[in-house]
Amino acid sequence: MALEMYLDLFSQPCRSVYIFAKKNNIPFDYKKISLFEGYQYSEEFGKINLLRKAPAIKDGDFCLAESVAIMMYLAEKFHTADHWYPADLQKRARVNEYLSWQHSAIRIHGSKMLWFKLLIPKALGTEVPKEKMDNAVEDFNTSLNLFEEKFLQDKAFIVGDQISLADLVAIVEIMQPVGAGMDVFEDRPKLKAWKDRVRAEIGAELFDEAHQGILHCQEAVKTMDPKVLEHFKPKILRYFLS
Amino acid sequence: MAGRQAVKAYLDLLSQPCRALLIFLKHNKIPHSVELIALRKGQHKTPEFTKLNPMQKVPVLDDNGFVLTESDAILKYLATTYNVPDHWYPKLPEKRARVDEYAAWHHVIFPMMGQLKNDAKFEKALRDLDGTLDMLENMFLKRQAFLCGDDISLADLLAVCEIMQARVGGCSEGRSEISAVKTDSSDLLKWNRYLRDQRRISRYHTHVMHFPSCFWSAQSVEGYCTRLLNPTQPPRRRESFLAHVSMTSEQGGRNSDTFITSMHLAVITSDRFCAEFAHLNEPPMCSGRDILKDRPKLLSWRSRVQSALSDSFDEAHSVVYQIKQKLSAKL
Repeated sequence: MALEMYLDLFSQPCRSVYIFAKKNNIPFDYKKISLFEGYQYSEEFGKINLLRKAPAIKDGDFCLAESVAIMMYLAEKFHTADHWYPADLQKRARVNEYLSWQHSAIRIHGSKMLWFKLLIPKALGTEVPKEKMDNAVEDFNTSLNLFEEKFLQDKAFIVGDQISLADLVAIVEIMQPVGAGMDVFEDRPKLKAWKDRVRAEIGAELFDEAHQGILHCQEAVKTMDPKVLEHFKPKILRYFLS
Repeated sequence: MAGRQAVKAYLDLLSQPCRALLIFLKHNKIPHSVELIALRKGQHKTPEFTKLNPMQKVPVLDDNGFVLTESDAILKYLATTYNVPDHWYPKLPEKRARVDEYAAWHHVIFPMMGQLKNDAKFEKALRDLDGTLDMLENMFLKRQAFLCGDDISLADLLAVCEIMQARVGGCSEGRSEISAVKTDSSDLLKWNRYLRDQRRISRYHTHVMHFPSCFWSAQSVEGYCTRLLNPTQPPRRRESFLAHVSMTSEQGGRNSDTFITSMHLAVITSDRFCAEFAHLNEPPMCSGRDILKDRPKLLSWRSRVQSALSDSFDEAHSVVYQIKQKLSAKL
């Protein structure tokens, strides 16, 4: 039975899993889903993944969620090149350290940029209050500063001179606010240089293909019917604007 | 691994991931030393600590020069470096993936309760927890004894410390009264009567508590006091405890009587007690509530986890008590 992967490439963690699988020539059955349309709440998807999160995979009878867990599983199962998730325990610990930190840092603050700049105004019909927006931008910038100072430093990649899961997870998150129209790399030459290296390692074609959706997000949201985002309203109010 | 030098852990036992790490180290007999970092006192912001960890967070592990942050990364590193039983972080990819899945999900599901500053936000966080607890019961614990299988793993360790934190989380400024609640422990009533007879107490108020009872389960606190009051205990021990309490309270400028009263009240209000501990700026208050109260599946899971961890679980808390005593003595 083929490996099924349920992905929506608007979502950062879906992109990292997609890129990882494609780059490593892992055969999979691509199940394209739409989070905007609420597929994650469907009964069908509930059978795959009770956590109702994307990405999710179904490998035979084995179902798994969480992009980080998925990529570690695929790396092990398909014996991908060592640099993605090194066997050396200290190098691996460094990858794990980044993957852990980013959950409550870049991932949250980067995601907020897309919501605040595009999706919330569309869903609620009003702009996000200036103070909240300014705080969110500041949090995102602080995360980027920490990323550059603590994780990247003067290395080519996060864990050394080769790309790993850490860089893959980082790049997809950082590209999210780019999709919202933010020039993340302005005044950040080190970050830009790293991004170019990562894109080159992944392969420009694959990188661009995975990011096509998010980079055209602004136009997509402009023409979107606000009713599509109706089911996000309670979440928006609880998590972003409270 | 023979011949390995001890690791050093930088911990604040008020923090759930720090407790998880300490329990793991102790339970698996991994040679280690602990350096305590009191977040309440800003010790994570000193130049030395910032040099160690620019994120200014705990826990931090120093394995002979290899410095690692992030509790799940640290736990995975220790589990794979040392000869711990496989069930903690199984080698089989499908089993390991389950622990990885939980560890990733864990980051987003537990609100940072220990850092919340006012009751309203804490209450909201508790409400949000309901969905998480539903998921734990209906998905992770559906057909197995532990979160990721039939045996305890890193996932259970991380989760149980978070759930304990809900008991002690929540902050509020200032002090408050709590109403007296009846106790079942006759020994405690005796103690209460003794104090009143001695005219050492004036009002039933909770004030400063230099005692880390908030980090114990209500049962442990009650047990501790009951032991103290047991006639077989050397009277000197009880006297020295009370004397210590008086001394520290007075040194902190607070009434020792109300301190003793607080202690007593904290014990007798098993299900909901509030405590403030000494803090230079803001005295936080604890909720003492058991969020698993109406969830038998999670309650039995928690008992299994605590049984599996036994001594090391209690030790993590007794260490906290010792720290608090030292801190109180310095006031």
